[in-house]
Amino acid sequence: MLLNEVIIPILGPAFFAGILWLAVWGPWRTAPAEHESPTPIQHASLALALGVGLLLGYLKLAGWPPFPAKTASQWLALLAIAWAVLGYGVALLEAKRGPRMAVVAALALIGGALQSQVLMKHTWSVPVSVLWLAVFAVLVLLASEALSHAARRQGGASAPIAGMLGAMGLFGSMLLSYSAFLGQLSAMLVSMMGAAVVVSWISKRFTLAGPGVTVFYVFYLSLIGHGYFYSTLPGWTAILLALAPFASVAASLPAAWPQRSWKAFFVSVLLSGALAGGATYIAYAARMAKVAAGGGSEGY
Amino acid sequence: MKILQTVVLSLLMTVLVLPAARAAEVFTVDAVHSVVGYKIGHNQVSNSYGVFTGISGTVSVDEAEPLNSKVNIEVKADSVNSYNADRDEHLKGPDFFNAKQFPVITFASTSAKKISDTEYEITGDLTLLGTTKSVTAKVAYLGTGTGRDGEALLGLEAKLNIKRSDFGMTYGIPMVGDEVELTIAIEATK
Repeated sequence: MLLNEVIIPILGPAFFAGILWLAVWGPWRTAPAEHESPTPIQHASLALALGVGLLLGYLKLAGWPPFPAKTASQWLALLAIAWAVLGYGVALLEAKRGPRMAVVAALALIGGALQSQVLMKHTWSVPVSVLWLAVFAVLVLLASEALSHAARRQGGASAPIAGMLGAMGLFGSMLLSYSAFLGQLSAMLVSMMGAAVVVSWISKRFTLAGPGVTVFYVFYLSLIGHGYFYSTLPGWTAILLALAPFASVAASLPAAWPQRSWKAFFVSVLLSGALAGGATYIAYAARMAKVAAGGGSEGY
Repeated sequence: MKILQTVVLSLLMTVLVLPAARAAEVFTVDAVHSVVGYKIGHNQVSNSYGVFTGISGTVSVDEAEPLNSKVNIEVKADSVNSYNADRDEHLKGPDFFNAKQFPVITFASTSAKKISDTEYEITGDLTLLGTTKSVTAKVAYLGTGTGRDGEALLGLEAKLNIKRSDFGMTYGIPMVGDEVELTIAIEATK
């Protein structure tokens, strides 16, 4: 059980992503020096590793999803293929900002609609559906631009650690919100961000920017949505978690701090950790309130 | 001439179809006196029991041809009650019944077989988590009667076993069993 439900599906994606990133970004590569831009193949490897990694973990846990998918998490697994392929293609073709943002927005809208189609059909009014899709797409676009900028400015482990802390908060909050499966999917993000931290220590050139940070945030935001809409993730937990990765952007704002500043790194880690910790605490308090309301018998 | 043909045809249809329509009596499931119970293995050593209380539907009884009778049942997934509020929240979530995405569990009979005067085998389509499978239930016909307000009453009790993994509900197997024994106790009124 531990092997099939924890070790292989959760650590497997991290091994896959880590090995792929090391092969492409490893310090033995003769490609650009630390201050130069990553090559298109390096950028492409970020999206590919995250998309394929999530799919592999999902397949181990739940098998191939049907097409068309029946549940939001099945759609997420299918969308992982789309994000991996498109992220890879966009990076490889070195698409300019306009077309790149158009692709990201289109995929965010389609992905958001597919994952919330049950609610859009039966529960939400048209304005609510439009509002949710707009929020989803705007957050993904913001992440693709702002998180990328912050990751490039701070470099190294900063963005992966902020992502990992957010995903750890998501993992804990999902377990507290009665969803082990969504917790397992969140744990895949934690482990893949962990792999990114390790790779960033081995290869100083490694930067989780561009399609890498976009694909991570899409999965992360999608899971927050699943937890909030289909499980019992509290609203404030969802909001704090959605904001946690943006801690790296806040830490990049002081213009006086130089690139790869230790101050920015610590502020980013502290802020994202505080947001993720606060989000988890709210989920814990909500769980305890439910337990108390149900007669005080926790655990089963 | 055409008008005459139409009138004759209409009269013939009325004569032929009405008795058949009258033969099927439709009873409505009384949610207050009906329940779906389940029994499922726990930790591979014991059984855990619970109920669904949000049940509705119809039982269409064809007295002339009992095997043509129909049963249509709907159960609200979020009405699950395992006698532990904390566990109920988990059961309603994505790991088990995924009640927000699949709010209703349905059963629609497709055929029936008589075993004795009070026992039938009813085969039908069970839809759970968006997956439909054909299942067969052993149904005890408990009889008919009259309620306090003069309404006609009908009692049925059905038992069937399913594998939840057949419907894509695989969380926790084998610590939480795969095979589930269901008892559907219905009191219907007309």
